[in-house]
Amino acid sequence: MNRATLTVDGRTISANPGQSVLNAALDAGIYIPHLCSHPDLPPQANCKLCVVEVAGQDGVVCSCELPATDGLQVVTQSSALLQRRKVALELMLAGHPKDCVSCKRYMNCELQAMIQYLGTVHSRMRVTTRKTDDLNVDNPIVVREMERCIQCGRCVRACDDLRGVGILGFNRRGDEVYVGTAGDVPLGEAGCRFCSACVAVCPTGALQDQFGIFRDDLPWEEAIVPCSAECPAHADIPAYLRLIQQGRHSEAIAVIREKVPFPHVLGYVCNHRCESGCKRTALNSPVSIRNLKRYAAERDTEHVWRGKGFHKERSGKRVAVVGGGPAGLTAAFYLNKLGHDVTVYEKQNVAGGYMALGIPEFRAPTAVVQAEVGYIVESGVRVRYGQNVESAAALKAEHEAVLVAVGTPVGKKLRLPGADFRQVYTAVDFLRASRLGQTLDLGQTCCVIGGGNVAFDVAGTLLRMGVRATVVCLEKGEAMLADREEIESACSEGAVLFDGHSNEGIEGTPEQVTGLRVHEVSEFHFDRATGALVETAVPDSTRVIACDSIVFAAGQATGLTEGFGLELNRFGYPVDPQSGKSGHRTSLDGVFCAGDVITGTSFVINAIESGRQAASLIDRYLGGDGQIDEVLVERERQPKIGKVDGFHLQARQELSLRPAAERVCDFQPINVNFNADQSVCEASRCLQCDLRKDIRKSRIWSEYAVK
Amino acid sequence: MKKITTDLAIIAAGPAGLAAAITGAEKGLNVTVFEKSSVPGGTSNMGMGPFAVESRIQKEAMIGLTKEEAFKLMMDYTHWQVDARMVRDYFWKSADTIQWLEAMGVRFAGALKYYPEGHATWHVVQPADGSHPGPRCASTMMKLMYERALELGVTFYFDTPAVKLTRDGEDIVGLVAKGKDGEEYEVEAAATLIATGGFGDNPEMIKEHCNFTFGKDMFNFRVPGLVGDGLRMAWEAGAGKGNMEMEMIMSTGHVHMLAGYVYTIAMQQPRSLIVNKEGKRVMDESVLQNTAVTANVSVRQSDRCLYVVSTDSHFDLYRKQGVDWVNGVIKADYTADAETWMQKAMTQFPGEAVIADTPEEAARLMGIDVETFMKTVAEYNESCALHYDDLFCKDRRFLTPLEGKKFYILRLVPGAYGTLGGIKVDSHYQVLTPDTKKLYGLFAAGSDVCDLYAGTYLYYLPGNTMGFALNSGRLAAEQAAEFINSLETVA
Repeated sequence: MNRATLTVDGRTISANPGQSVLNAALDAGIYIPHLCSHPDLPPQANCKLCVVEVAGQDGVVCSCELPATDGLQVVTQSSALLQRRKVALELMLAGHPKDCVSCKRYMNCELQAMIQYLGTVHSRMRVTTRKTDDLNVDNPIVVREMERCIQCGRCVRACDDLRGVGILGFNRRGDEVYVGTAGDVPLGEAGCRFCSACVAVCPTGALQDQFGIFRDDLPWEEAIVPCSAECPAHADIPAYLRLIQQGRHSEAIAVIREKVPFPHVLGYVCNHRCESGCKRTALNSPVSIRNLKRYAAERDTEHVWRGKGFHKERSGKRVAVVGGGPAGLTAAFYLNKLGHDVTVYEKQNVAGGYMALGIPEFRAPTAVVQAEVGYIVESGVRVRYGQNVESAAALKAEHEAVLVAVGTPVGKKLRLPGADFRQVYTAVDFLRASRLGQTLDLGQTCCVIGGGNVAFDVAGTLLRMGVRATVVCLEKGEAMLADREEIESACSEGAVLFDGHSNEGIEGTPEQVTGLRVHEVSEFHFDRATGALVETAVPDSTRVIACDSIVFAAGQATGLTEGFGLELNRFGYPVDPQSGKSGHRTSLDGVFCAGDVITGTSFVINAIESGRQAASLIDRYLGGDGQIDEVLVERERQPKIGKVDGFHLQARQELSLRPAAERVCDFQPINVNFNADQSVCEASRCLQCDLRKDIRKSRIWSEYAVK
Repeated sequence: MKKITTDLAIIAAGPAGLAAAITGAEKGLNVTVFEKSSVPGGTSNMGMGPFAVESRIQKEAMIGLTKEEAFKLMMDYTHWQVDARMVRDYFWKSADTIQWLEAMGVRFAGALKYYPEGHATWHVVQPADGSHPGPRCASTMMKLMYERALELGVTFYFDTPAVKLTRDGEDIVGLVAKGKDGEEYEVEAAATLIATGGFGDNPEMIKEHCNFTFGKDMFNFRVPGLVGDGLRMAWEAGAGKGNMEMEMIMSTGHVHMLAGYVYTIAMQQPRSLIVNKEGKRVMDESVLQNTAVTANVSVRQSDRCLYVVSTDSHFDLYRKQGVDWVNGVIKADYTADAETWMQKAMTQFPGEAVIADTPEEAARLMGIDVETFMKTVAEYNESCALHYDDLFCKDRRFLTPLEGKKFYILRLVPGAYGTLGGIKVDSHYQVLTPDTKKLYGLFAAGSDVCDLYAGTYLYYLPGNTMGFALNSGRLAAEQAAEFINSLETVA
C-alpha cells in the first residue's frame, strides 16, 4: 500500500498505511496533545485531548482513532479544540491531588507537562475524592498511589495487550470507576507477573516503582535490570534464564559466554551478586541464578556458541600473559580473538589458577575447570607451563604488551612462635598440594587458623583426607567472615570450631608440632595506623589444642618483588604512578595488570571482568578499537508472558545437600543439582525485568519541532 | 564522550536557569542548558508567581509601595544581616523583570497579598486558559520562557544532569554532564552558571547543615531531584559554603498529604486555640496566618510542635458565615469533608490528628498535659467572655470560646518550601572560594545562593522565592556576559 498524503494545520505530511492521524503527526514532528495514547499501545480515545477538526466534517474527532487517509485536511489548533482539551484536563484534575511537590514523579510526569502545555492548571469542578483509592495499594514492587490516577487506561492495555496478563480493568463500585483487579484481590493473588509494564507506561505518579528497588547511580536502562546491573560482567541474565526455562541450555550458555568464558565454573563458585540485586527478593526470595547456570552448563552438549562471535584478522602483535588464572585466561581469550598472538606463562603445570588449585575439588571439580580452560586453548591461546616469570621488563622486551595476572599465590603466616616448625603450612600451599595429589605431613589432627571461607575449605579438605580439623578464629558467631553455609557445612562434616579465640603460639619442636596454644578474647580490633591486633583476653582462658599440624588461612599476597621491574606499593601490589593506586596500568609502558594483583584476593567473576577490561585496554594500546562485545545468540523477547496463578508465591528451589556422612567420604560436589522440573520451575520465577526495555518512552510536548 | 563548546553553560532549567539562559542569549551568547529532568520549569511548575515592586501592574492597581520602602522593610526585618547590595539590585530590577516577562507573552492575574497585613507584591501568573490562578499556574510562564529561550537559539539537553565542574587553576572552564542513556558530555564553557534549586530532597544535607530531621521535626516539600547537586559540584570544585537554612513554614505531620487536605485550613483559623505539649498557650492565634513566624514559635516548643484546637461550633460558624481567612493558594469549601478527613488522618497518622467528645479526651489522646490544658481552656474561655485576651492581646473579633460537642486537635510541625543558600557568592553572583577569592567563570543563582531571609521568610513581601530566582538569574547572566566579554577583550 502507498503512503497517504494529508495536511495538518496546513503542513503536508505523509503517513504509513493504517497509521492514525495522531501518530502520523507525531512522526512528522507535529505535537498533538495526548495522554491515553502511548507509542506501544493500541488507541483507546478516552482522554479526549487529541481531538482535531477535519475539513468538511462537523464536530471534532479523536486523532488517535482517525485513520490518516489521502487528502485529509486536519486542524489541530482552534479555540473550540482548546476549550475541549481544557475541559478534558479539568475533569482529570478534579480528582487529582494538588501535592505535586510530594510526588516522586515531579518533573517526570506527563500530566504535569500537559498542565504546562495547555496552561490549564486546576479544575473549576468540585474536588472529587474516590473511596476506592485505598483499595489494593499494598504490594512490595508496584507503588499504587491511585489518587493520582487519571484513568487513561494505559496500564490496563499494557497488562493485557502488551503482556497478555490482563488482570487490570476498569472496575465500578457505587458511582466510582477505578482501575483494579477483578474482585479487588491483591496483584499477586490475581496472577500478576510483576513485570512492571504498567509502571513503565503510567503517565502520572499513580503507579511507581517501589522506592529504593533500583540503584540511582546507574543509567536508567541499566538500573531497571538489577541482576545484570549487579553482575560485574553484566551478563544478560533474564535472557539466559528464559532459555533455560525453555530447555535451550546450550543457547543459555552461549548468552553467558558473551561475557564470561567460564560459565560452568561460575555455576559452582560464583558469589552471585546478581541474586542480591534480584527484584524478586521483594516478593519472596531471589531467583537461584547461580545454580541454574550450573544446571545449563551440565546440559550444554551442542556447544552452539562454538565458532561464533568475532575473530579479527591477525595483527602480528605479541602479548604475554603472566598467570593462567581466571583473569589471565579471560584476557588471553579475548586478545587472541582480537587478532593478537597470545602466550600465557603459567608457573604451575596446570592452568586455571585459583579455580584449579585454590579451592577444593568438591567446590569446583577439576574436570569442569579443565574443560573450560581447554576451550580457550583450542581457540588458539598458547599456554606454556612451569614458567616462573621473574621480570616483567624482560618479558616486555620480547612482546608488544605484557599482562600481569599472577593473582595472590603466596599464603601468609602470622608471626607466632613456632610458625617455622616443619608441619606448619599456608592454605594456599595446602589446597594446591591437595589438588595436585601431593602428600603433606599432617598427622591425625590439624588446626586451621582463620575464619574466612578459605579456612573452611581447608577444614573440609582435611576431613576428606581423614584428618581431624579444628578451626580457630578471632571473630565470634555472627561476626565470622565466612558464609553461614560454609561454616555449617564444615561443622556438620565434623570440623571443631574455636571461634572468639586468639593464638599465643605453636607448641612442640621445630621437627614436630604438638599443639596450638590459644586463649579466649572478649573483644578485639585492629589498630588503624599500624594494623596491629588489639584484644581483650578472657582471664585464665589459655589452653592448648593438641594437634599434629597447622594451616594458616590468614590472607594471601602477590609475592612480587622489586626484581619484577614494576613499581610496587608497600603491600607488594603494582601501582600506576599516574593515580598512585593499583589499576590496569603500571609503571612500565605496555605492561598491564588484571585480577587479584590489582584488587587483592577477590571473587572469580571479578577477576574475569578485570581480564575483559584489560584485554580491551591492551587492544587499544596495540592500535585496535578495544571492542570485545559480541552476540552469540540472537535474542527473542516474548513480551506476552501471560497470567500465572500463584506466581508471586512460587518458592525458590534449593539444591539438596548430600548427607554429611556421605559427602565427607569423597571429593564429589557437596550438593546435588536441580532436576529438570526444578530447573524449569526456578527459571520461570524470573520477573523478566528486561522486557521493560522494549517499552518506548512517551515523548512530551517540548520534544517536538512543531508544538 | 561527546564534546560541546559553548559560551555560557547553565546547570538546570528552573526559573533562575531559564531567566539566565534568555538573558545570556539576549546578550549574544551561545547558551547551553543541562537539565536532569524531562521538563523545563523546575519547582516553578508548582508555584504561582514572582515578587516585584513598582511594576506596571502595581502602578495601574494604585498599589503605592515603593522600592525604597520595600528595601527598608527588608533590611529592618533582617537586621541588616543580609547582603544589602544584593537586595537592592534585586528589588530595583524586579519591575523590569515583570515587563520583560510580559514581553514574552506572560500574563499576570494581578499583584496580590499573601494575607491582609502584607503588601501586594506577589505577581500571580494568569493561566493560559483564562481560568482563576492556583497552584501550578506559573508552569504557564515556564513554558513561555522555555519557548523564548528556544527562539533565541538556546540549546537544551533534557534528562542530562551535570555531574561535575571542570576546574583549571583558578578558573572553572566547563562541566561534565551525563545523559540518561549513560553517554557523557564534556562541555567547554567560557562561563558556567549553577541554578539547581537547593537541597530540599536531601534529608542528610538538611540534617547536617540545618539541624532538622525529616519526618520528625521537619516536614518540608521534598520536590524530587532537589538533592543539592549544585552545591555539591560547586564545593567539590573549591567553592566556599554560604549560609544555609530552611525556608520555613508551618506544616502538619504527613496529614496534609491526604488528598483532601483543604480541611486543615479550617483548623488553622484565628478562632482556634493553640497550645504546646505542656498544654500552655504560646501565641496570639491570629499570628497563625503568617506561617513563617508561626514556625518560629513552633521550633521553640517541646518536640518542636504546636497543637491547634477547634470545636464543631467553630465549624458550624464557618459554614454559616465563611472562614475568617481564606487561603491565597487554595480556593475551596474548607469544611466540606473535614470530618471524614480528620477521621482518616486519625487512623492513618496516629498522634497527628484527633476527634473526641470532650476536650480532656482530645488532649489525652494527643499526649498533651491534660490538667494544664483544661486550665488553659478555662482561662481562654474566660478571656472570651470578657472580650479581652490579657495574655497575648488577640483581636477580640476572634475570641470565640472553645465549647461544643466535638473537639478537634491537629498537630502542627515545622515544614519548609525548600532550602536557601549554600554556595558562597559575592553581591554579583560570582562564586567565591572559602577564603573569598573569585572562582573565575563560575556564577550561581536562585535558591542555591538565596540568603535574603535571615532566618524567616518575609511574608509581608510575598513572591520572594521565585522573584529572587528570576531576578538573580538575570543579574548573574549579565555578570557572566560581562566576564566573557572581558575574556574576549584580553584575547
